[in-house]
Amino acid sequence: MGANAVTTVPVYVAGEVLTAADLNITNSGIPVFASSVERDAAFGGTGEKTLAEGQYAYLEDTNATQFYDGATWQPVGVAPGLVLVKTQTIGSAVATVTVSDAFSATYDAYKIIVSGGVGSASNNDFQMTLGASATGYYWSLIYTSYNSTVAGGGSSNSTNWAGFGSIDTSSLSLNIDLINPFAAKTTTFTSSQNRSTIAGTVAGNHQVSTSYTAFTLTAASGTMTGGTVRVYGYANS
Amino acid sequence: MTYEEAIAMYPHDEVHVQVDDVVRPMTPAEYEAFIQQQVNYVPIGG
Repeated sequence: MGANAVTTVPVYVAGEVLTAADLNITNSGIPVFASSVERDAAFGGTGEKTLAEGQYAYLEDTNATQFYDGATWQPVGVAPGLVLVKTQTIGSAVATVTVSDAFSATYDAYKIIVSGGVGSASNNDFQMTLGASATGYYWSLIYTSYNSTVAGGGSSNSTNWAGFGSIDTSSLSLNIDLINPFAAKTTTFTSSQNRSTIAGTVAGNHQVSTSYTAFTLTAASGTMTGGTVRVYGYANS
Repeated sequence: MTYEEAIAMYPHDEVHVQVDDVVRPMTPAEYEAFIQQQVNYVPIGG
């Protein structure tokens, strides 16, 4: 518990003699609690305020400021639309990185970002699978070789999604959006191709109506070292 | 890249598989698939 944390929110009666300790409790303004456990225990007891609408609290464990709306504790301010779900640091010389417990019923849609790190080979990109599924992946890439000639590539009912992001000896880079990976429905994705020799837009789906909580990223060629995989959830409301 | 070149570039004890925070060596089957992937890799658009 920090210096401002309290374990009670007192109420005083007429004629009561207030001590320095009594007054110091009010000096922090919004009462500070170690966690929601201490917060919930601080109201309604003997000599404590009855919890009522408009009460504020700060929680040290989550660094959150909250207010009580008369029924439940609510976050102060606008809830973020994009919430960091999981961060995974990539190890040394790994060909594949599996991130588990990334998808849940909390979010329908997700953004996955890979940054930092390096690849062992230049001018290649990422592949991706959901859970243990090795079939039903469809994807289509439209690109140019940094000129005006449009070309394309793709695959149907493949063993993975491919053709997105960039893996180079100087960096790893990926930005991909997924819809419905957790729902037992077709999962769709959109991403971009950003290799040193081509760039474009890639999209596709996974035509297997199964719920997945994990995904695996694979270097199309060589291995990856360092860098970070970040999974964000798009808030449903 | 030939099979021999892939083996020379990526010795078995120098490539790994990662699951969350656990990085482990490849099984023989995983390594064989990895080497085949290097041999067969043709980047889209060159």
